[in-house]
Amino acid sequence: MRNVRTVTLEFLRHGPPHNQLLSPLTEYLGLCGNFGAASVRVPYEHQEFLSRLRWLRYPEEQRGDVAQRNEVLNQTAVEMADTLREVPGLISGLCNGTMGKDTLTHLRIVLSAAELAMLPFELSKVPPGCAGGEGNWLSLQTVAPVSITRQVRTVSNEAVLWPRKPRILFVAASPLGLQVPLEQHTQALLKAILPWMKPFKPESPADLERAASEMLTILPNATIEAVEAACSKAAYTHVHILAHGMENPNLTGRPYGLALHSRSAKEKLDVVTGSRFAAALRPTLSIVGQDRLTEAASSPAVVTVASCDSGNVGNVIYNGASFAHELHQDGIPFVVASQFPLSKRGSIHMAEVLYEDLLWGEDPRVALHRLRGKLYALNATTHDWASLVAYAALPADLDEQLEDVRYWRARTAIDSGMAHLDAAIARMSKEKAVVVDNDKVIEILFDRIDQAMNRMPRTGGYETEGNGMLASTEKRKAEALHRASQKASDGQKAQFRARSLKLLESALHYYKEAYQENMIESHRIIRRKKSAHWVLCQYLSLRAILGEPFPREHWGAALTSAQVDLDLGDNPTRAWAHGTLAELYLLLTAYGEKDVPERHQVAKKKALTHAEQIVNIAGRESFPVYSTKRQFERYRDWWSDKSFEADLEDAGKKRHPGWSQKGGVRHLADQLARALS
Amino acid sequence: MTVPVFDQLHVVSDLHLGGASGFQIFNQGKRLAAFIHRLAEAKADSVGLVLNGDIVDFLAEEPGRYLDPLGAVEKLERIYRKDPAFSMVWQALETFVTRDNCRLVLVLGNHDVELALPTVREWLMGSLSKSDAAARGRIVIALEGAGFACKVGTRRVLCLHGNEVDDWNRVDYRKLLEVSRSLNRGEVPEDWDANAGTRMVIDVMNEVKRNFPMVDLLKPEEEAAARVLLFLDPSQLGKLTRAMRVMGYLSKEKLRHTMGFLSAESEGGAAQELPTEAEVAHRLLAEHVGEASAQDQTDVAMLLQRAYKAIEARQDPKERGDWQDTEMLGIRDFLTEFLAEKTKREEVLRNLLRWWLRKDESFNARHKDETFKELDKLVGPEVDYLVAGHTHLERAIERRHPGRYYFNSGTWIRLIQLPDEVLNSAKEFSRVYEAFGAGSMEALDRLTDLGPDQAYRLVQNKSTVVSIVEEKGHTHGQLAHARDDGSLEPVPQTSRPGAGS
Repeated sequence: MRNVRTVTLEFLRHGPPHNQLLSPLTEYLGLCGNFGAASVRVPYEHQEFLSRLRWLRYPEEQRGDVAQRNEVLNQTAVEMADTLREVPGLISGLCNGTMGKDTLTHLRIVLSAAELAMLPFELSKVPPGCAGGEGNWLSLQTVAPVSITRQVRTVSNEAVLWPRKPRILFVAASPLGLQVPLEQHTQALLKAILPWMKPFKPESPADLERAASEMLTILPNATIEAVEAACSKAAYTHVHILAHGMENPNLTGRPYGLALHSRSAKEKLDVVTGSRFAAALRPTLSIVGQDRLTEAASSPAVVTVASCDSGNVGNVIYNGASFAHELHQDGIPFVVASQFPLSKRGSIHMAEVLYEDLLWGEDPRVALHRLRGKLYALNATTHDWASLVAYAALPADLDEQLEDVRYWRARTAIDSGMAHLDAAIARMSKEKAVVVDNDKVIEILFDRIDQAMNRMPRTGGYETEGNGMLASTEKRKAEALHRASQKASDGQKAQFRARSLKLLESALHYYKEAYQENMIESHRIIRRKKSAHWVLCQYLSLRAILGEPFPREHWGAALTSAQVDLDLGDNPTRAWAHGTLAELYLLLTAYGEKDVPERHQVAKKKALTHAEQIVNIAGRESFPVYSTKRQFERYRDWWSDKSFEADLEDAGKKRHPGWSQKGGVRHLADQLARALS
Repeated sequence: MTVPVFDQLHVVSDLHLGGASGFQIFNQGKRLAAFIHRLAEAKADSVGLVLNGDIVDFLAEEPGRYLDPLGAVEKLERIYRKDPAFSMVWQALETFVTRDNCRLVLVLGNHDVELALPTVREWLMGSLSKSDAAARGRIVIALEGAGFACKVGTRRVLCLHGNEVDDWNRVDYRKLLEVSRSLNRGEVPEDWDANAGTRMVIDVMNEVKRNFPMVDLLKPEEEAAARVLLFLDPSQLGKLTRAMRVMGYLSKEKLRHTMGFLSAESEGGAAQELPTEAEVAHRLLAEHVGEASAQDQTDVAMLLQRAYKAIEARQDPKERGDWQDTEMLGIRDFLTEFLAEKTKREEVLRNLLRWWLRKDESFNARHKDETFKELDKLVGPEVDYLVAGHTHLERAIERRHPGRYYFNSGTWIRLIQLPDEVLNSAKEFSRVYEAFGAGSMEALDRLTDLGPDQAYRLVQNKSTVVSIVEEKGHTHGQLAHARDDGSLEPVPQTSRPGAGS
């Protein structure tokens, strides 16, 4: 879903959050958008509602009675819809004209009264008069999709920074031998992080653990002390909890908590409340920086609780807050939990869907909606979909932040995929016996890289960089295939090289899109991330490599764009501009143009001068120097190579003949690469 | 201090005479009678026989009451006169008190509290002595909770039942006195505020043992029986929860004891927060996890390796478990599912028992158990021989005071003992498991051919006697087991002072 719009619904009453029972006599103030407030009443006496809840908690004696449970579910859903529609503005909020299948409505319910938090708004039917079809489940229908979250009134969403580099803490506990699907959740989480894991030896458990540990820490027999210790050592962005939920007998009102292991004896229980868990998640974190030690509060952005009753308010007289509510209240922006029992099967869906989506930078509300739908469709005998409850305090600029997150997630996944590809190609020479499998290995890794490429944003400010990154990836894949071809059998060699050329053509296409998107007139607010010269220069480069004619105007445009960055940009910007300029002057040689304003010798001199400037500005060990040097090495080692020229010839492409001659492209590229070494 | 002096003092305890036929845990009437007759024929100048508490078991009688001041005589009469399983014991005692050199001592336990009531005491003394004044004079009553003090030769002896140091089973003797006062005044006594152990038996275990008589043989007041029971029949969780709620009385009992028996009103109502079924399951099964955590430290690297292989094999994680679709991440489901399959329960229980009993010293007569430690602290060095019962486990131990000794007279009821030979064999344990669940004492008694030699009896009858004897100016104590003919077979290495002392 591309768009998310938010409708806020707030229920208020006088007095403290706890110590009040549900009653049809109690009036709440219901507020939605700019509409006036109205009095809202719930249709239940407290005891009556508790009886209702009992049915939704899969009572042992009636567990098999799905029909009866569904009847209660339906009845409660209709009553929830009736309660919601009493709030003026809600119906129009849910029926806004901009809605459609591509727009998700985020219904944000702000609650202050603990007894209202007991109500399962998430299982509401579509209120009469709203889009989605009366009688359908509000949060499941697909006509006008709705994702429901809750928010604690006092929790601020202003300073929330959505994590670009996720690091997951997986907290699992099975005291008393209370079996939890630890293996299955580990599988789900491992699968979710695989796209970003560095190369590892699959046959070595220790190596796998090392590779996984950059993103995933597992506490399989967790105590609250172990959670605190882990959070003191590293800043986790996501925390996934797998444990049984139970009442805490030692606290007044017996609030629901999670059954972790006790510190004193692993076999004993420590029933941990939300606030205790939140305190353990947010210790003062000591970070050893480059030259100093800084302290900051560790603060995960997301906590997912795979447990029964983690969203259950329990006794409203004493505590008035569920485990999830307390976590949220203590500053965790997004908490997913379950207000009723959660099935083991449902909990695995939860881990699979949420972590796959969130790690790629999907909107958490969209992920929640997808999860709910999946739970409904695939678990017919439970109502896990309705149990699911999310507390969310999301920043106003979440969409913008998520676009950045998506870009970085896709980019790092591509880098990881390329690292695996490079490692596989490096291994090929040593494993000639299995050379027949080379194409399979490459195919699998290309598939992985392509999946990451599909996630790359190409809108919202990433028109240039997104397309440019895709182009760059195609080029890297082509290079990898070229290298693989040198170790391949004769049959594979030709196949790899032909495909390598195709990938270069594909890269050319993406670069073209990138500069066009950069320059085209737009009616949107533009958040441009990259200058045109980078993609224009690469476009020119590939055209030259593939023997396309010299588009002089593009060369001039690239030169101008780079010159602007050079004149007005900061040091990093200027460094990249020098890199472009060095390559643009190299390209004059590559195209072999005689009538360009610059003479060849002057061009060579300028190219070398710009290369030196990159080193002067960014430093010899910097990424701009590394990246530019690598590009010049490609000219020297790959595109000037006779085998590549033969491939071009085989493909019917004719290029300027001077590439490999003395004083040609190879010679200058070598000089430039050396200047950067 | 003037105390009776004996040449020989023999102590037995925990006879638990009582209960309906088929559910009686005492089945050694003939042997006990033979032993008493032998004592009655002893040549010594003065012979003492101490019945050291839990002589009869009022808690096993119908209708079950915490304390039955008005029905106790009738219950005792049934046990004394109408039940053939016990009548030979009473007859032997009647004979015993006819001998000039014999003294019979009755010490109060916690299952026979009613014996302290005037009408019950009077009935019992009248019956035993057949209203003969001389015989009556040979019966010593120690029913005030102070135990029985005497000398054997020059060495001082104190007999206590042992419940004095058991938080579950303390008896409020002051309250008991008030009940006696009320009865004497012709008033209806106030309701008896029973201790936790009594409540457990009356409220829960009496009902449970109708289907699972073995719980009595595992000492019903303790948790071992409850744990085993949960594995035999998970549906008993509700009853066990009630039992554990009784445990709420534990803290109350301790407080009462420490503060000198405060009135119930002044305590402000104890045990308001009652345990849930989940907590009961936790408490009962906690040690299982001790085993699990000791044996199965999860290796994260291997965990990841298995997960990776599953991913490679394109296994759906949701299909990797063997649970039902409706199995939840809650403790109740754990109980339901985990204990659902009988075969699984049987195997888990066998493993649990192996774990629980791995360091079990219950049947080691020299093991210093908690009752010993507490009584040793309670009783000063002036007492040379301290004799207790209550635990059902015989003991012969030197106390922390050198030259002073502790004996426990064990029991005469059936006892279940599970040796490694049985626990290490799934096949052998399966027979035990079946017998546990069979619902009768006979099924337990029938298992006499367990173990590789097919010679091990599941139910043991120790028939323990503590004998303290003065011979030629030298006093020594000895644990012995009574044979069917009433003679005693010394338990090796339980003579105190020992051979080298």
